[in-house]
Amino acid sequence: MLTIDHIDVYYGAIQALRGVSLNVNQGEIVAIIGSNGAGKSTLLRTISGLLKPRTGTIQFQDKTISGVPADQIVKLGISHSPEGRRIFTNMTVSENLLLGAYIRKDAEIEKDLEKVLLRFPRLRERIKQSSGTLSGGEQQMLAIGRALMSRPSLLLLDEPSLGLAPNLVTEIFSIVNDVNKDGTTVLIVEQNAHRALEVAHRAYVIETGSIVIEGSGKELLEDSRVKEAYLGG
Amino acid sequence: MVLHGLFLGLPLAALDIRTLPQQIVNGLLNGSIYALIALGYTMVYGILKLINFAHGEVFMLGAYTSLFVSWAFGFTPNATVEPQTQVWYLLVMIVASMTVSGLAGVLIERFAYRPLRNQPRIASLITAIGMSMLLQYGGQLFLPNSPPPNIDAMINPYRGNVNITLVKSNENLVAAMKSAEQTKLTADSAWDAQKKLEENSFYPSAKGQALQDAAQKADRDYIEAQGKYNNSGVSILMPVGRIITTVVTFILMGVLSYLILFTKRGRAMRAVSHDFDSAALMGINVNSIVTFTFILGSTLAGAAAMMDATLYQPGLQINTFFGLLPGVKAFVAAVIGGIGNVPGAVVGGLLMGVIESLVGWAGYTSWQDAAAFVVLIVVLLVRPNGLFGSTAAEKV
Ligand SMILES: Nc1ncnc2c1ncn2[C@@H]1O[C@H](COP(=O)(O)OP(=O)(O)OP(=O)(O)O)[C@@H](O)[C@H]1O
Ligand SMILES: [Mg+2]
Repeated sequence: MLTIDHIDVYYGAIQALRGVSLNVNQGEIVAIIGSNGAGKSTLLRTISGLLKPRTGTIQFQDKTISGVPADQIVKLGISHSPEGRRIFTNMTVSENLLLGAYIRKDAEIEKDLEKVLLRFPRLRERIKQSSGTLSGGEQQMLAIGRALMSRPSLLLLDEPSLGLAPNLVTEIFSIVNDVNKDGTTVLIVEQNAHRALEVAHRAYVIETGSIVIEGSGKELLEDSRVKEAYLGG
Repeated sequence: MVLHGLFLGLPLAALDIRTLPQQIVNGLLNGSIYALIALGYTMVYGILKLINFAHGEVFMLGAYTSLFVSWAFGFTPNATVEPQTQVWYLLVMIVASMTVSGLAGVLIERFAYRPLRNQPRIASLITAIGMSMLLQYGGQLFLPNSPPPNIDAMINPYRGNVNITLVKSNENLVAAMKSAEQTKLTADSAWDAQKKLEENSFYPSAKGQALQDAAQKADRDYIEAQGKYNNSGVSILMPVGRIITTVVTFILMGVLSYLILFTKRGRAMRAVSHDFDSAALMGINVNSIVTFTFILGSTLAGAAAMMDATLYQPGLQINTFFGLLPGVKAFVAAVIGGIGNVPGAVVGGLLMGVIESLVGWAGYTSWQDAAAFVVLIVVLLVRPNGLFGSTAAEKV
C-alpha cells in the first residue's frame, strides 16, 4: 500500500532522514520506534507531504506522492494526526471534527461524526465546548477522531500516548486496534515501545535518521538490542 | 478613561455638555469607516501574523476607482451639465472600488508577501512598509490630485439630514421669544416709516437715529431669545449620507461575521489562522485561504474608500496619500480591539471615531489626527493585547 524507497530528508543543511526505506501493507498496524530526535516525526511529515524528500520516492497505492502538497495527499486517503495533537484550540470540538471532513462533499459526514462520537463518548459530552479547554487525553481523542473524519485508508499517528496516564494509554491503544479492525491501515510512531510493539503487526526501529532494525512486533519485543535500548533492559 | 488621564492638567475649552451626544454620534458614524478598514488589518494579521502596511494604499486605490468611475458618469470637477444622478451610479462605484481594491490586495500578497512567507517575519514587515511607500510615491506618477467625486449634494439618498430631538426646547422661553419678536417687528416698522420720511436727507434726524438704534437692538434681542430657546434643547443631526454608509458598513460586517463563523470556508480560515500545517493536513489549500482573506479585507477597504470619498467633507482631496491617515487610524483601531480579533476591530473602529470626535469636542481640533498615535501608545503600554485580546491564551 505504502512503499518508501531510499528517501533523504533535510531541514536546510541538517539531514534528518538517511536512505529510509519501508513499506506498509493493506490492513496492517506498523510501528516505528526510536529515541528522541531519531527522525520519526520527520518520516510521518514527509509521508503526509509537509516535507519533501530531497532524493528517493514515496508510493501510495501505486501513485508517486513524494512532492505532492499536503492538502492533496489527504484526498488520496492518508490522514495524519500530528505530534502534540495540534488541534484547533480556537474552535469547538464539533468544528474540529468537521474540519477533519473538510475534503469530503458526500452526505455521510453526519454518519461518520456519529461513529467518531460512539468511539469517543467523552467528545460527545463536550461537543460544543472550546477544544482548548479539553484535557490532554480528550485532546488526543479529538486529534484521532478528527483524523478519522476524512475516511482515510492509511492513518498516521504520531505519539498518541504522549503525556497520558497509563489507563488512558491503554484506552488509546485499544482504539487504535479497533480502528484497524474496521479496515484502516495504521502507521504509528511511539516512544512507548512496549505498547506499540504489542499492537503492531510489524515494526521498524529508527536511529539518527536510518532504519536499523525491522521485523514483526513479536520479534522486536524479543530482540536483545531493542530490549536494551527501548524496553528498559 | 484614556482621555481623562491624557488631558488632565491641560486646559479644557469650555465643554458644552449639550453638544456631547452629537459628538458621540459623529464619532460613531466616522468610526464605522475605520472599523471597515480595521477588519482588513486584523484578518490579514490573524492569518499571516503580518501587519499589512499597504492596506491604506489598497483603500487609496479604491477611492481613485470611485473617482474615475464618477468621472465616467460625467461628474468631473468642472462639469457644466447638471448630471442626473441615479442610485445605481453609486452601486457601480462601490462595486468597482471593491473589485479594484480586492485585486490590488491579492496582487500585493501574491508578489510581495508570498515569496517571503518562510523568511523571518521582519522581511515581510519591511516589504509591507516598502509596498506602502511605493504606492504612495510611485502612484503620483500616474494618479492625479483631485477633489473627490462631485456627487453627494445632487444625489437623492445623500441629501438632507435626520434630526433627532433628545431634549425638547424649554417652552417657558417661547413667550419671551415671541414678545421679543413682536418688539422687533414694531421697532422695524417704525424705523421703516421714518426712513421713508427722511428719504432725501443724507444724515438721519435725531428721531430717525433713535428709531434705527431701537430697531437694531430689538433685532439683537430677538436673535438672543431665539438662541436661548434653541439651546435649551438637545438634538442630534445626522447627514443621510453618513447614515447610509454606516448601515452599509454594518451589513458588510454582518456578512463577514456570518462567513467566518458559520461557513465551511470560514472554518478553514480560522484553521489556517491557528496553524498552517494542521490546516494543510485537513486538506485545506493554505494559499487559497490566504488569497481569500486578502480579497475579503481589501474589498471591505474598497467599500470604505468609496463611501469615504463620496461623503462631503470640506477640503477633502484625493491624492496618493488618501489612505495614510484612515489607514493609521484603522490600524490603531485594530490594535485597540486586539489585533487578530474580528469583533474587536469593529469595536476598536467605533471607539477610535468617538475618541477622535471627543478630542475635537474638548477643543483640541488640531490634535484629532494625533489622537490615534497617543491612543496607540497608551494601549500598547497598558493592554498590549488590546481591550479584548486574549490571543496569547489561544496559542498552544
Ligand atoms: N524544523 C526543524 N528544523 C531543523 N531541524 C529539525 C526540525 N525539526 C526536526 N529537526 C531535527 O531533525 C531531527 C529529527 O527530528 P524528529 O522531530 O523527526 O525526531 P523524532 O524522532 O520525532 O523525535 P521525538 O521523539 O522527540 O519526537 C532532530 O535532530 C531534530 O532536531
Ligand atoms: Mg517526534
